[in-house]
Amino acid sequence: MSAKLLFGLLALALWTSWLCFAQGALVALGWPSALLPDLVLVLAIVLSARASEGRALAALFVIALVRAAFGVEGPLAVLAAFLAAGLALEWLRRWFDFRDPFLCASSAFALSLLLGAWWRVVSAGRVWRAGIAVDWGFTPLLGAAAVTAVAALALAPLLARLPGLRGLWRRAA
Amino acid sequence: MNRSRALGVWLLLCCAAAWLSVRPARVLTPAFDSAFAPLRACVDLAAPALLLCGGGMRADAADARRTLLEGAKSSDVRRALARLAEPAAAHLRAGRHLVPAEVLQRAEGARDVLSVRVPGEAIGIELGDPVVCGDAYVGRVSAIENFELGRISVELVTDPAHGAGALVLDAAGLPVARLVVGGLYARSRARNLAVAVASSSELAEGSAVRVASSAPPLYEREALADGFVLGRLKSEADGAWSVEPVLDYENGLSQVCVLLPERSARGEEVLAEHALSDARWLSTRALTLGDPGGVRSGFLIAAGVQDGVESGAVVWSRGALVGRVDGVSRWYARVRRLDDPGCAILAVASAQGLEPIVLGRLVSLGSTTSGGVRLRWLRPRVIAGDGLEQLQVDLYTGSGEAGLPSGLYLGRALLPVDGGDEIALLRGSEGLLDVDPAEIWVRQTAAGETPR
Repeated sequence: MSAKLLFGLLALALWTSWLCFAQGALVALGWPSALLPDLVLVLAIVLSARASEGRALAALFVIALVRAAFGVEGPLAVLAAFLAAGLALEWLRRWFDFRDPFLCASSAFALSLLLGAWWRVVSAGRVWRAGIAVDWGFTPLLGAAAVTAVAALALAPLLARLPGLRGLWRRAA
Repeated sequence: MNRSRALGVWLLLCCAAAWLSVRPARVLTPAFDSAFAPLRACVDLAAPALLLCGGGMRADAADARRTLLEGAKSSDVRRALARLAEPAAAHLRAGRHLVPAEVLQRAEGARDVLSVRVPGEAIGIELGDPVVCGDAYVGRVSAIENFELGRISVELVTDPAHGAGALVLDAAGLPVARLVVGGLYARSRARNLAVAVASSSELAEGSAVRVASSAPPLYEREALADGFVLGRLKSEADGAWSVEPVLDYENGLSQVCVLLPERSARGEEVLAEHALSDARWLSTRALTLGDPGGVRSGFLIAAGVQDGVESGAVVWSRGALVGRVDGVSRWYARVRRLDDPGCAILAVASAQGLEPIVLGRLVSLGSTTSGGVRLRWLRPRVIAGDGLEQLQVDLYTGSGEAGLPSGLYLGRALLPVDGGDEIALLRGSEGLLDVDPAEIWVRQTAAGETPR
């Protein structure tokens, strides 16, 4: 592993942890979860669009680990969600260029919706074990997915310019 | 490793993680806790952001004093609960020495055996000593778990092997039949007590059933339980008889009393200090302020297995209980707050001028739009409310679950008096969900405690 890649991954871990913290702080301040953008997911899409083939997987794995560390949900559930998102991005980027703002926003919307649905499934199991009825309302998921898509449109260029990540980009980027 | 092989391993990891998160394997939990422990380093990367939010500042003396004052308030509830567990009727107190005992938890693998603690050592307590709650019969001492710590096991009357002798009384209070009661009547959802043997078939539904020891008694002090209430006779659909209990043996036991002969070797019973006074409260700080996903309500704290924290431990901040540890690794723990849907807690309500009400298990349904918490009362009942629809009460933790001390303040709440099952914990009551990231207390697990 080159020093450049290592530095890039460390910087990525740092930025991901700050994004995770910021999202958690927003929730603690009373920001409605239905309007909470998943900035970590947007960062993963940005990275998948720009990282070289060999480095994208390592970078997505770092994002999944950091996000799992911050979750109140069990680390395995978070890890599974972000590994699946990473796998989907890795597969889709063969056909699509996520540097295109519209594609970036669309994929953010779709993946946010899938992640939200997964959190609901995991939550449902826990709530059901506690002996209360499961709330399957999916409207908040649509809201969160839409806000994530807007965040992807607005913030993707900024996230791509975060200091320290250049070591992960492919040369043409 | 080539790309397709890397993707194959990735897919395998993803599927395994997804499967284990939906169907957790308990045997693998310690291994995963160890594997995820280094992730604390990732969380620490956000420490500068936490400092900016005031997470590094220590609480001032006034806040610490408020915590102490709330603790003192909680001791009143514990005292009131202990008083409530003593028999009220004079004839049930006569000739008996009452030993207050706090319910700690259910025994591992035995739902009908309670682990309780008496003040000081278990001096003078013998196997078979009756255990009661108010005027109602609970069970008998089945083992001395730890003499020095005063921990004993109590076999509940709901245990199929129990077999308590009882009398059926008519409306005039005269005995009409003898019964043997023990275990639960299995063919009904109502959790009534099963009647094993009845001396007469001339029984009337609704008749009072009281304990009456057999002759010769099984245990030397069995007769001390004579006269204590079991419940009312009920005729079941299949023609069998059961006893509708006056106690909720699953959720309604917080404090009980062990009955000893009047001239017992025990001195005056001194109740334990309030829950905050024991030395197991560990000061820690928050590592995050909330869940980045927004679905869960909780945060991370900087204390883990190496600090003696286990899953289920209670977390206290700013004069109130804020949540419980949901998962723990070596160096940090995940805390779910009270408003996290599914978060369960045993609770007691206290209102001015009323005796404490043991509510049993409350499960969070999530937060309200006004910032309070909706709680589902699993075993609701009608309460005398002087014509009010809801009663304003202070909620405290009840005992009966490992790692959960009784008497910790939860907040002010509105309690339905008409048998409704939803309790509203109010926003604005002191301390509710208000966490000071620099001043958090978590209760360490004691030896022998296995929080859920």
